[in-house]
Order: sequence, then structure tokens, then C-alpha cells
Amino acid sequence: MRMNRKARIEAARRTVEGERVRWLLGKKGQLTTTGNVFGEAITDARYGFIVQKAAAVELERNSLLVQMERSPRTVHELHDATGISKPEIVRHIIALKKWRLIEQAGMKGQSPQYTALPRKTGAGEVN
Amino acid sequence: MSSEAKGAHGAEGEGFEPKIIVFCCNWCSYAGADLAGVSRLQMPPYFRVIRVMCSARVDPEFVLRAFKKGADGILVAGCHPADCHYIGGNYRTRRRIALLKMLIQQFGYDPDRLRLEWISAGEGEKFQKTITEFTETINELGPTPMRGGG
Repeated sequence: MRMNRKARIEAARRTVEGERVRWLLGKKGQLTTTGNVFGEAITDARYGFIVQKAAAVELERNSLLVQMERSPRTVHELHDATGISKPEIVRHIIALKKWRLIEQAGMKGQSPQYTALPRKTGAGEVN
Repeated sequence: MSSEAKGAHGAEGEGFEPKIIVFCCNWCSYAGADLAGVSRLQMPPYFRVIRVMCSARVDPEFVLRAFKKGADGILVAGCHPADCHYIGGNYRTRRRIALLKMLIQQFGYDPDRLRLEWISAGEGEKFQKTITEFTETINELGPTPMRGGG
């Protein structure tokens, strides 16, 4: 079962709404001209690469979160639903657990199931 | 032509009327659109203008919400670079649109469905040309995947 388009759009919405992407978009001038706190500036091409990569990672994480909000999911189920590779899903799950966005909800056979913890801000949900 | 456009021709009926959302900045593009109107320049009637104070007011969420609600194409029109009433709003818009184009591709939309254009208050003709071209592009692409297109 693949993610439907509405779920993907919701994941994209969360990505652009997220702190990481917004921060990167807002700091372009500073990062490419004056540089960071150490005075290290990056090129426009490098900046573009960083933004694209950050957005791609955030999109994947949000896609997984959207799935886990519906019901507890195992890595295999997440792979089937999103098409993201299993090692990549495991990496995302480690990060999401660290930030307390998900937790283990139980076991399904040998595989742990994960569920998303309630979001603090759900106001911007697209209906 | 993209794969979406190729697939869309099947769904594109004779009476396809695209739904196009145009976000216009208050200071330049909206005045440009107004000029096009008072100059009686002919344009396809399939677009709805939404006036915002600056093109940077167009939150990426607005664009995604519009696509989710079934918009076929979205045009964001702002002041020319360095002409922004709020100094650098249009530069922010440029970055956001570039990112959004990448994101909408991820869920099967052609990036051409989203367009950013700089239109000043005196460029009524450019507004008309942009709308005409964009409507043609959307007609070629067909209905949005949310409305059963390719």
C-alpha cells in the first residue's frame, strides 16, 4: 500500500513549516555572504545542496510520522507504505525517538511497532 | 514534455477549464494586473487573483493547500528583484518557490504547475502574456492529479 497523495502533501506541508527548512531559507544571505559565527561562508551551490538535502530528509521523516500517526507501524509496514529503504527508516526512527516524536508501542511478531506522540502544534492541519 | 503531461492528455477533456490561482503582491503585480484590466487586454478567464501585501507573504503552506484543494496551477507574482517594497521579500519568495518546485515533484506534480514571475506596476502587458502562457502550459499538462489527471 503506497502513501496517497494527500498524505504526501501533508508531509510536504510539515516539511516547509518545520524549523529546519524555515531556518535554512531565512538565513541564506547570512550563510553565503557574512558566514556563520566562525566567519565561514558557503557558496550558493553548496547552500542549494544543503537546503535540498535537508528538505529531502525532513520530507521522509514527515512521511513516516504521518503514517505512524494513523496507527502503530513496524519498519516493514513503513517501507511498504512510503517506499523508503529499511536502513534509512531505521536511521529516521532513531532520530525521531531521540527527539521524542515517536515511541515504541508494542511488538508485532519479532518487529517493534512505533507510534507518533501527539504533536504540540496541530493548528495548521490542512483539511 | 514531462511524464505527467504525457499522461494527462487522456484525462484532458474538451471542456477542461483549469483552476489557476494567482498570488499578486499589492505594490507591483496587483497594480500590473489592474493595469492589464483597465487596458482591456484579453486574457483567459480561468485564473483567480489573491492579493497579498508581499510575494513573501505567500507561505509555502498556501501553495500546498491550494494544490491539495485541486488547483491546477499556481502563479506567484511579485516585484522585480531589488524593487521589493519590503526590501528583500521577493528574494525569500524565490528561495521558497525553488524548494516547493522540488517538493511538489515528490508527489507527482509537474514543477511547471508552479511559477514565479516578476511583474511591476507598469507591466500590464507582461501580466497578460504571463497569464496566457501559463494557462497554455496548464492546458497542456491537463487536470491536476488531485482531480484525476495524470
